[in-house]
Amino acid sequence: MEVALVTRTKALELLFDGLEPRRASPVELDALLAEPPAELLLYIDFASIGRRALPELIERLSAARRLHWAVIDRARSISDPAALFHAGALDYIGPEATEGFINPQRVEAVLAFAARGDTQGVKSKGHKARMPAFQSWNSMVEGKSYELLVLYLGIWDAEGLRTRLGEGRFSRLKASALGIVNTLIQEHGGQLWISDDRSFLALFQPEALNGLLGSCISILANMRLISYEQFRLEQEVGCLCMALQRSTLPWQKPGQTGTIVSDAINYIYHLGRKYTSPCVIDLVDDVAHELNPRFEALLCSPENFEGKSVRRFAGFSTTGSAPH
Amino acid sequence: MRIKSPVVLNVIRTLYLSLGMDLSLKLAREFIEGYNVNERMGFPPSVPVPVQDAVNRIVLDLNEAGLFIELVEWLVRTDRYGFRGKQYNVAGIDEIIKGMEFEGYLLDPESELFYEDPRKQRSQGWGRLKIGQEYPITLLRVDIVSNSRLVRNNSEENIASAYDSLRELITRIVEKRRGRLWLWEGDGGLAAFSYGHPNMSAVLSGMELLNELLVYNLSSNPLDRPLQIRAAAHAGFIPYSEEPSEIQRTEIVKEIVEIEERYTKADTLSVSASIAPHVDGIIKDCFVSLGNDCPREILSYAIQLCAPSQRNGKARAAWK
Repeated sequence: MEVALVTRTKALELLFDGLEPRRASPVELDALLAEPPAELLLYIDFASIGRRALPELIERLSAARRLHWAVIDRARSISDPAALFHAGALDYIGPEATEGFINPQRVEAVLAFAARGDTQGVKSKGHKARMPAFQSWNSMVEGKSYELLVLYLGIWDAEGLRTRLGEGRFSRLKASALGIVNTLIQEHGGQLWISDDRSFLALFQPEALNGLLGSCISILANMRLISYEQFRLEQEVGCLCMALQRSTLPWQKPGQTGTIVSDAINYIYHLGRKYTSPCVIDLVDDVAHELNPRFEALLCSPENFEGKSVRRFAGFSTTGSAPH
Repeated sequence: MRIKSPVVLNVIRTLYLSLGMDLSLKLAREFIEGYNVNERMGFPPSVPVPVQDAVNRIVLDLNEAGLFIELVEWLVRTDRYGFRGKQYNVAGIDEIIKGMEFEGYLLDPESELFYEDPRKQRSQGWGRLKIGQEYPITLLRVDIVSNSRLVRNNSEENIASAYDSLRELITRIVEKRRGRLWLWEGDGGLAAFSYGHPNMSAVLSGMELLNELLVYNLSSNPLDRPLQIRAAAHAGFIPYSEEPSEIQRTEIVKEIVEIEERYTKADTLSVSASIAPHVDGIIKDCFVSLGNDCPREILSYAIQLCAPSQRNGKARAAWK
């Protein structure tokens, strides 16, 4: 069995003795979770993940039935390590572990523990089954959780615009913004999920990421033209702001989302309303790592917002130029 | 227009019901100097022609002379603004406009002129321009920068893919603003605008082209370097022709070539003085004047990525 170590720091390799773990960055975790290799024991450094992201990660690890996983918890982020075993973990390395603590004998014991199948039994009773894969919007089952891309698209300074433009013109502007969202949905096979008087939340399947981001960037590049031609603004440029994250969401049909309690939805609304600036796109880090490298190179360095790392596409500027 | 087309019959009925003999004759003389319905119908001057027969003859004659669409445009204007200071209620005008749509012509709300419905047909002259006649046209010229170097350094397949993408992009951007791509050569082309707000349409198309090209270069350009263009917008009168060489010989095209080649940097759009006064403030705000650097009065536009350090706004953000 191959051993892999998911961490941001090289220093953790010192914990291993007689083993040469393959080092992987937290970015690669999503790919491993999507298609867990059977012959792999994964040690995950929780200090490299970020405390707020841990509950969601544990849920996803728990859902990945084929995956053999273990936890290195240097910062003691987990108050109840036993709960990890209930969720399917095979090993727990606390902050007291010294150099060479994880050796071939320990791995053998871990595998023997896995072979007993106890963890599988616990999993099937106490934890939800592997997440169903996205097939189509019509085939989604209410109440089940799905891994989806969530796009927040908001009208910047909506209240100010409403005051300056009046209710009628603001309604037309909002209808145009909805038209933009609908175009994105049509082009990338999405679904408008929740909307209110100043923002829209649309869902897309994770594979749409790069195409969707390209379209969002194109919207920002053309914001002035959109303001003039679609919003019909004459005095100012109307701004949209966007945020994108990948989340596991409990599915409810559009219009029936009022009872959903979800950290992911709260988070993207907080991100869109408290953090995002006009004419930028903020990407939660798990999305940023899956991007086409050309797009990733355009992002600013990560900043923390409510416990998650967020990277920003800072938009465009316009200037004239002198002749040669 | 087909003589038996319902819209022709509607126009005949409208002339009979709303305009009467005198006004119908005035209408005919607006288009054909000295038009004489008695002569056309073989009636002696002293014998009055029955009104119904007269309007029938007038409409058929104008149709034969290729002036039917102009006749309908005259009716639309007369219905809205009257004729020689007098208001007329042109009966059935809405039905006539619908009939024109059925025949493949849409009414441009700005100029109140008909042009061909792009869903049915897209000809170079919007189905209206007549060869040899002079029209006010706004042009947008686009030229690929360092074309030879791109061709030398990239595979034929990648060049074909990138240039096809550019041509598709230009066509889409121009046609959605009722423009037409008049010329396209290997390394650039010329688009024309005549309907709607042609000056604004040319400027907005040039801006959108630069914006979209930047996104294309960031995302899917297969070439070894960014695909760059120089773009220029200019307006003037042009004798319409379907021969590319004749269009290229016109004065306005020579001027736009000069603006593009001499005063436009890579990745920028130049707007000539003939257009600049017609550009609305919210759009003009993102242009700068070349001022003393240039003998012509030219406005210039460019877009670039906000560097992360500019995030809080040293450069003029695209939305400011």
